[in-house]
Amino acid sequence: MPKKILSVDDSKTVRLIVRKAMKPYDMIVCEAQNGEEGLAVARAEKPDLILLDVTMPVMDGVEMLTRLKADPELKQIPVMMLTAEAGRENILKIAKIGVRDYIVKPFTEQVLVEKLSRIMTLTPAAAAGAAAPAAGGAPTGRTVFIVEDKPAIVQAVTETVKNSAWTWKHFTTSAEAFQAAEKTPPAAVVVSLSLPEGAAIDLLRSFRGRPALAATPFVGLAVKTASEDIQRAQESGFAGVSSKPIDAADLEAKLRRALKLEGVFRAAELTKDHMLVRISEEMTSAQLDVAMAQVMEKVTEAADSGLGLAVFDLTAVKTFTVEILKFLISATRKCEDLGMRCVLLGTSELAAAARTFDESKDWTFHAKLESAMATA
Amino acid sequence: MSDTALPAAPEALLAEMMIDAVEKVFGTMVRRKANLIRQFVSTRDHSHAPDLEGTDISVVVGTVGFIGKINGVIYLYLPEKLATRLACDMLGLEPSDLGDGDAETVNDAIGELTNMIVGTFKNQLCDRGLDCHLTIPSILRGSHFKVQPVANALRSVFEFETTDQRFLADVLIDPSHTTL
Repeated sequence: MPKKILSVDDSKTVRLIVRKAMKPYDMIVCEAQNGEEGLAVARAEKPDLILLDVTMPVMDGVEMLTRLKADPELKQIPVMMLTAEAGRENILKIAKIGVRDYIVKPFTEQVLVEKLSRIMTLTPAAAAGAAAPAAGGAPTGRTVFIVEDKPAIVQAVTETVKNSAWTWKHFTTSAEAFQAAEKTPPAAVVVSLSLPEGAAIDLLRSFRGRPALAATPFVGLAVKTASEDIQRAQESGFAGVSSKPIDAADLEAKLRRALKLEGVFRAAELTKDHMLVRISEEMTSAQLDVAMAQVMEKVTEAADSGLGLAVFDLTAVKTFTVEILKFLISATRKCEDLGMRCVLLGTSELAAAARTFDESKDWTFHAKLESAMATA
Repeated sequence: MSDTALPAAPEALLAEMMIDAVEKVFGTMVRRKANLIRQFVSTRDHSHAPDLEGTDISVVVGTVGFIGKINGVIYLYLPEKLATRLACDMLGLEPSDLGDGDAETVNDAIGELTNMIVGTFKNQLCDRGLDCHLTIPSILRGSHFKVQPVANALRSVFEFETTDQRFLADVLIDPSHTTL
């Protein structure tokens, strides 16, 4: 059954951004333009959460919040403020009335999703399941688009660069690639700089114009003599250009660098008595996806080898993010499905941060491997 | 004086806060860099304040005020073409996605963009003890016009450039509640 949130904001723009951010999830978004409408919709729809602005005509957010908390039928609905009003005194005043969290405008869709996922489970919509990771869901974002109109080049890329954790999806035109990216964002794009009419650079610009795609790294393919194309690509923001004929090692190295994946490919390894998974500080979602792919491969090998213990070493991690939480849920579940016991290594600060999430509030982190092994 | 936490000559501080607000909101909401081209500050003579080049271009002007221990209003002057581009960036659209009747969509987006810039600016005032609240955004559209400030207002005009187009942020503060 889909979750339901109510967005109360006098700005249609903000309501549209909220709706867009929630599109990949199994979520019904109700809307209201002011506090008065908000109360009426809240009574009719009984949302699971209310996103509330402060400055609105007719009835502002503070008054709506006050009335909501005084209503026995509505007071249990968690409220998250989403507002440009954020002086310390304003926040304290609103916090006293009772809100679960506070997002200060300007805000990104990522922050909204992350904050919401701390309060409610965001389940991917059936139709967009591959595009939106949910807590405990399968890892995503390992697809790399290759946009190239010469089949021989495509074959050379997909057959020679095949030892990586990513999978290739081929398009012959930039329009097809962009259309597909809007449905399921890729981890990276490899595009031929010799596509007609500067289509490669236009494609990059189109990606940069879409918030959900703007950070996607681009790697170009060009013959060494096409120095003007290469220079233009570098000036336009390509992360790298690999030369034709395809040099698999060079292209793979440039893709890894573009995806900031250097050093990640050994995240999981087998020792004589356990499987060790190391999570380094500030790993990106893409890096965690690759680490997850490794865990999925290694865990089967570990189970076949008779190893019964998986150690997740997070001692280098200072910030416990939603992405790390999702990674750990998926990875430990996979290990446990194969009969392996999981232990976590991390600092006391990390353990405290993990306790703020419902899913990880009961997890135990050990400071050292020795104490973890003793309990295991 | 004084019930405020602004320095005796607040112009430099206010300029820093305003530039920071514009850069932060543009970077977050439209993922574009806004580069400061020049700025103008005056408490009396407003005659040399910069205008957008070409008085005949259609402009969209977002306005949000702040009221409390310090009062003021900020106008964001955007050429219509830039306003449409920024609205599309906020909503993940292309200009071609908007029809002729979509001025309301652009107005709303620019109103919200202005609201966020002024909110970021005034939250810094609040944190300095100058509690104030935002007013509801409003939008003006047209050409061949500029808002005439009251004579003694502390006025700072900032000219920025983004995507090869220029826009203005015009900050007007009532000096009666400041140390001016």
